[in-house]
Amino acid sequence: MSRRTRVGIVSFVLSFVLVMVGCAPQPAATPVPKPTTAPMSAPTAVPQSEATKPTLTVMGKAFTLKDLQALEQVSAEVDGKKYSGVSLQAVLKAADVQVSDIALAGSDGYSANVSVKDITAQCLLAYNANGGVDAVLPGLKKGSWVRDTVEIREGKPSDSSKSGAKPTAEGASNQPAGGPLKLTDAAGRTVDLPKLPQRIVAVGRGPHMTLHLLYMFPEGRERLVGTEKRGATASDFLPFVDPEFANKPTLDANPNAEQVAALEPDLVIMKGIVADALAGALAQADIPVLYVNLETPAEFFRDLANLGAVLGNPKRAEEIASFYQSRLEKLRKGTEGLEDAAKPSVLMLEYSDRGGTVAVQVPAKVWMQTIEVQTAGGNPVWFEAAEATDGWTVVNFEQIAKWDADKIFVIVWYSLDPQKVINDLKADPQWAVLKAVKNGEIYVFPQDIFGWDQPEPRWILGMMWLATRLYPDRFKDIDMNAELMAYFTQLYGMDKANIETNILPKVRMDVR
Amino acid sequence: MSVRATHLPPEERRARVRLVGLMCILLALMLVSLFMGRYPGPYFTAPQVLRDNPLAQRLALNLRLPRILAAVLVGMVLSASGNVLQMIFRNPLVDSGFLGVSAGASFGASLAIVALGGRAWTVQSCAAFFGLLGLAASYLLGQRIHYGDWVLRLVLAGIAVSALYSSGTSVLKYMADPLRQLPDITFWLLGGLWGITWPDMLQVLPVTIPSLVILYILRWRLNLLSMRDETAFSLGVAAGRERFVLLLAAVASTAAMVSKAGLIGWVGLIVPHIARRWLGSDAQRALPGSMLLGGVFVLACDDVARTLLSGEIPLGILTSFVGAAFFLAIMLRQDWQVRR
Repeated sequence: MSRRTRVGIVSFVLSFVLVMVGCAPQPAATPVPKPTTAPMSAPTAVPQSEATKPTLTVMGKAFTLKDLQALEQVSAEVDGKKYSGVSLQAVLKAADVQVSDIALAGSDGYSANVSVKDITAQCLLAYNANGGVDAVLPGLKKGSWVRDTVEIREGKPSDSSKSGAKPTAEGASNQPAGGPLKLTDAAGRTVDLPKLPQRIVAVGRGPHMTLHLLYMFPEGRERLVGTEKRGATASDFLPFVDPEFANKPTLDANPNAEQVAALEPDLVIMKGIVADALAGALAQADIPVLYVNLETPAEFFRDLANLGAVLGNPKRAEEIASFYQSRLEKLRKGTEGLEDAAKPSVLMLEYSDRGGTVAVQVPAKVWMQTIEVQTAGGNPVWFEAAEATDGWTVVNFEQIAKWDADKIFVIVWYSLDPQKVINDLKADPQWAVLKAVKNGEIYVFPQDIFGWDQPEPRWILGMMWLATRLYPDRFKDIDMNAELMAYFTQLYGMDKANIETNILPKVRMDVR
Repeated sequence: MSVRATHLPPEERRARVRLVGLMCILLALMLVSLFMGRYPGPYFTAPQVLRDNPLAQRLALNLRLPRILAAVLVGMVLSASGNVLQMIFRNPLVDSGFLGVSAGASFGASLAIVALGGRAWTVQSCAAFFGLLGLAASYLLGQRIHYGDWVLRLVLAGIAVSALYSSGTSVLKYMADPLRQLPDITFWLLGGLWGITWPDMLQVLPVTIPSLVILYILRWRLNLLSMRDETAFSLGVAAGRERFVLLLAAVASTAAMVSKAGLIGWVGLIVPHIARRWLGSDAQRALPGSMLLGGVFVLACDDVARTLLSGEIPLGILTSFVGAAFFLAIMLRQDWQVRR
């Protein structure tokens, strides 16, 4: 071997050693959100990998299921039903809770105030089938038995908590208006803002979902200085809310940090639970990023509170939250006392024929579609077969026949004619044998310009509509036309004529 | 180099002048690129803006500069390794994309992201390992195919190995956690330099710089290695070992770069051809020429990618388009003959 070759080999080996030494202490390529140790006011529902997923956050302290099982276990019997789980007193003690009132918040965004002195040794958090905990508080009113409790935080003194349910948006409203802000966002990052941002840009995946929430705030409309085109435009709906939207600068798809910086934002809002490379690059230019996720009601309320804080209008955030809370409360009351066995089995499918191939698929366990069915009092038959965190699962007809759900709801890909899809399904001899088809219980899931199943603010409409279809008797008082009017007037400030000309003609609520 | 410039034959002297010219073009383009961008206005940032505007300064120093260096490095590495592969395999139609190296590297990186936690060094070493494995598989397979000439057999084997790896990558994509891992993998397969910051840049240096130096130092041996083994052996070359060192350097640097920039096509195939056409087929001059030309080519494409529109154009699309169009153009010229 020549001397040069040897020199080559030696230097190559050396360089590999260098790599190992040089790269080993480098941070991982993908930043994984740390288990939340957030400030007290920050609600936490950041999805994590199964092993480290906190079941419950108490005053900012995260507890996994294992942590809870390590504490004192108790059981209680109420109205002939037996519950067992971890003692609530022990949990509060473990989290070193000093306050006089606490608020229990559920994964659906519902929350209730409880005075700490009312909590007896019998009060417990019972383990449920979803790997979470349900509050069981013997001796306290049922309104405070929060299903799937995910967080315990400081509550309001008991005299103001007569309604039981409080908008979750209160969390961030304690922040001084205009002053420096410190928030925990959907990606579990701490966002420090020295002053209220005046130039906001919304980019990243699904920017319309963020924008539809942002435009509920007058400040949001004023301060948005740019967004990103996905398809033809960022949103087909917002020009009806505010004609000015059409004049906002839109970047082409996938802008890089400098292209975003050209809009001179002092805050960039993106959607997701993991900070991506764009956020890293924007950090190099000192442009703060706030992540929102909006995929579940709990996340929706947290993101809403965060937006209220960064827009300097927590009051509006509370108004919006109470709009949602009052409707959630109505659904909760309407489905109260229903045994699981009495709930109709529901199948929600997405029907698409992208590229000529028909695919029928079911949503993920933690997705809004699944939560809508659960909250409206249905029993989602696909739950076991669904993806845990993200993605649609394709199902074949054999599986659909095996489930043979009482009610079938079909989400129709926007480019298709829903009436034709439903007619074709009914005419299909295979589908005709299904219970739901025979009983005429197959519906197209409603939409206006955007679908009501999506994790965008319309989810509340989808939930209410579902409840009226699952329990026509229990929800006789819900008038969906009035709800539609209330939604677009109260949340977006649209007038009646505007809604009637631009929205109502596109509403497809009764295709079956 | 020990030969004094005065004794150089005219061809050599011309090549040297061209190399120095290329070097100047590259440096000038790097300097100009620093002033190109979308902030505060599109296309060009005036020097006084860069002096007075703190945000423009930050953007230029923290985003543009590492990205410019990364683009140059990507171009150099891909072109140099393309040149090496073409000479060693005596096959003008190969580059890392054709021989299962890129497909292997992306499989390796996906595997590291899904199964090994996705730390920077595991991604890079895994990418390098599977890239090399892909190369070895293509080479061995090419020797076993019993029809066609060597050029055809190697390309066929490379296509088959790449396809196998791609299906493996698809399986990994299917298995990946869609929230955390899938975006990583997808980014990887698309290719682009928009996320490059200083730490990313520094992570690839320990592999790419020594590899480029090795290729540069050993470039004169390439001429011998491109002969048949018997001929090379009779000239005093331990063909097997030297070939391995060169291949390792080429593949490791490619994999390291690909692990940060994703798959960027056609650079490694087209640039060495142009370099050889311009500077002669002697690797002494063609290899440095490939490196410089590759740097210029990728940097120019990346400048377009980041400044032309108000959204990023994927770099791989640009290099493939320009590269393939150029390739067609020179192939259709009458006087074109394949050199290696």
